[in-house]
Amino acid sequence: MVDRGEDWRSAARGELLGLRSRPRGWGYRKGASPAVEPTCLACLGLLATRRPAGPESRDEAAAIVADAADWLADVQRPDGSLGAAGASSGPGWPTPLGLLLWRACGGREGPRRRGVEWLLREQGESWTSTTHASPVLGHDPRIVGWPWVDGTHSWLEPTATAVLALRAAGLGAHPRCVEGLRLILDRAIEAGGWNYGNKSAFGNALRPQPAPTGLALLALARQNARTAIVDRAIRYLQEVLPGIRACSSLGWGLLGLRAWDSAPAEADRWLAEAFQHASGRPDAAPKLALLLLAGGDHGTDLFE
Amino acid sequence: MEPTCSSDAGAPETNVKRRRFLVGAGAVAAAGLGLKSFRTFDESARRAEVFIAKADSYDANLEEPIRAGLSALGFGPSRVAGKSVLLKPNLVEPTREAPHVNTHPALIRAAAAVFRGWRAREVFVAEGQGHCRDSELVLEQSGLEPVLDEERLEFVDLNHDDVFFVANTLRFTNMERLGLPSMLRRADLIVSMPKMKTHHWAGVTLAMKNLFGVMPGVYYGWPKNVLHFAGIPGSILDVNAAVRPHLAIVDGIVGMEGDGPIMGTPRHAGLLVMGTNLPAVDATSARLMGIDPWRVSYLAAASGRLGPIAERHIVQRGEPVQPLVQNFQLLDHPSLAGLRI
Repeated sequence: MVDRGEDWRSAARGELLGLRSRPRGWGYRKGASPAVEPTCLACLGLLATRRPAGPESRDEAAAIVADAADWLADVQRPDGSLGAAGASSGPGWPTPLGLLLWRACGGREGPRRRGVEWLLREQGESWTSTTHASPVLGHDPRIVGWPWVDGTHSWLEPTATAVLALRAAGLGAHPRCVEGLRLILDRAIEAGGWNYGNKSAFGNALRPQPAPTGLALLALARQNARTAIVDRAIRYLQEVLPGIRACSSLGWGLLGLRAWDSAPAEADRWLAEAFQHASGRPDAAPKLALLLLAGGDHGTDLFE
Repeated sequence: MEPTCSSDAGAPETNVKRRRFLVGAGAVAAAGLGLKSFRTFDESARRAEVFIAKADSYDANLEEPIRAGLSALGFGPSRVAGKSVLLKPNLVEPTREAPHVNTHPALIRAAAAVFRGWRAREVFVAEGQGHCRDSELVLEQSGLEPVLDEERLEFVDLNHDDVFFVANTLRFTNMERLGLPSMLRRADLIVSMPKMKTHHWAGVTLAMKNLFGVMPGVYYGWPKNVLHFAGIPGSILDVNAAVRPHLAIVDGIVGMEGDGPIMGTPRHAGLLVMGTNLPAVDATSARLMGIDPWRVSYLAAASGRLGPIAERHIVQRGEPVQPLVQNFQLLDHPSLAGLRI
């Protein structure tokens, strides 16, 4: 399949399609078992760079995406979650990505409903206000978001993806979603940006990272005013992304900037350079997916 | 037979099987023995050798002290030839500004050269960093990426590998089983290559704590939340008993003091510490940092169960400990106040 012009996107799509695991889905690495997260990202990347209308619905990529969405429905667990390690085992943190893909593909109402119900039940462990008074922690551990693993604390990335999935399901005003946004704002690093979810420890401010920052900005877009926290995060990404060609960080970072109409004109060149770097590597699938998501015309639409 | 992290390289091996992990019925039996050993632990029957080498900077020839140290420990060409060697550095998070957070690329390059020189079948680098999902970014920012490219060293992201499960034989935590990355099965020899650092939760982070990075993030989260909830000291012990690494090479050329493992300040110690028994290596490293290993909870608990930590049970090779002791600064927090020798 060829996109508009023979740019890096066409090559990335072709390579990504070639990396598909047999019989269905994508793994984190060539030869690895198919897993939910790389499958969802690959499909979203393909959808983000799809043609505007018409033939796409009949082409190979569209059929593969539809098949992958069906595979996710097949491996969905009875409780509604999608497992991280292997298709149906491990913690359920990739479930929001499955919901975003199903929403983008349309249909699959039953799996979507069960996935949303699981997501609304799932929550991170919160701690008491006494703990919050300790100078060891920089954030408010009373706020409930989403954990990576059931029975542990709430962290930035699973909370951001949960907020995105719930909003896409029309639940942006749900109290869980509102509290999730509050958690994201609470975990913002004073100097700008986010990391995995610790803004300081033992009184020392910790370092931000591009991918969590992009994800947080994506989650806050459309639901939060352009506050000083957002401005500082945008500035952080605009400062660091010119020197970063790591695909996941560049991809999520640019998606965050695009959600706030702040992506620089050079972004496409950065993505093309990152593609050159990632192409041919055994673990290229999730990397190419992120580049396509960030570089596609429909990338941010898939999260709205 | 009690759980041990000492080398099993002397055991017969086949070409098909790489490393043996306790699975199935065998694991249940071993777990019973492990629990029995909790009732009495006495390290007087345990001995281990640790080699200390001076290395003033990363520009120095680092292959030479590594080769000398491993040879003195009896870990020479005959133990390495034909083997698959996994180097496990300590790559915590991406930062160009604080290179003392991560194991220095020059040391990884040197270790790889030594093992290749001893005709290892393959040498590869593997990590599942705890604070950042994007391993490509960590490699980019730590300066390791160009070294991997130049030396044609494969890197494996352990956070996103397929997972297999083993019984938790030691049971210092309530985790019944541990999920490990499939790539561990490919390696005949696992080499822990930590940075010599203080740690605001555990006291010190050295060869044993470095193995948190083996645990797959897809299963344990970031920053390996499940292990934190289960208890850091107990998890260190359980993970070491499950992974059973063969060797440690501690990067103490420039370590970290104060608010480790990521926000501390650089501390030049000019040392490499090597050994096949990780509690012994960590106990020696702690002493070199001016920290009493008996007061570091996971090291005290490792005594007798996973190795010796008493000075009298550790045969010191290379440089002597005492003249090289430097008091690494500790964070001013009550939980760390009693660690000093």
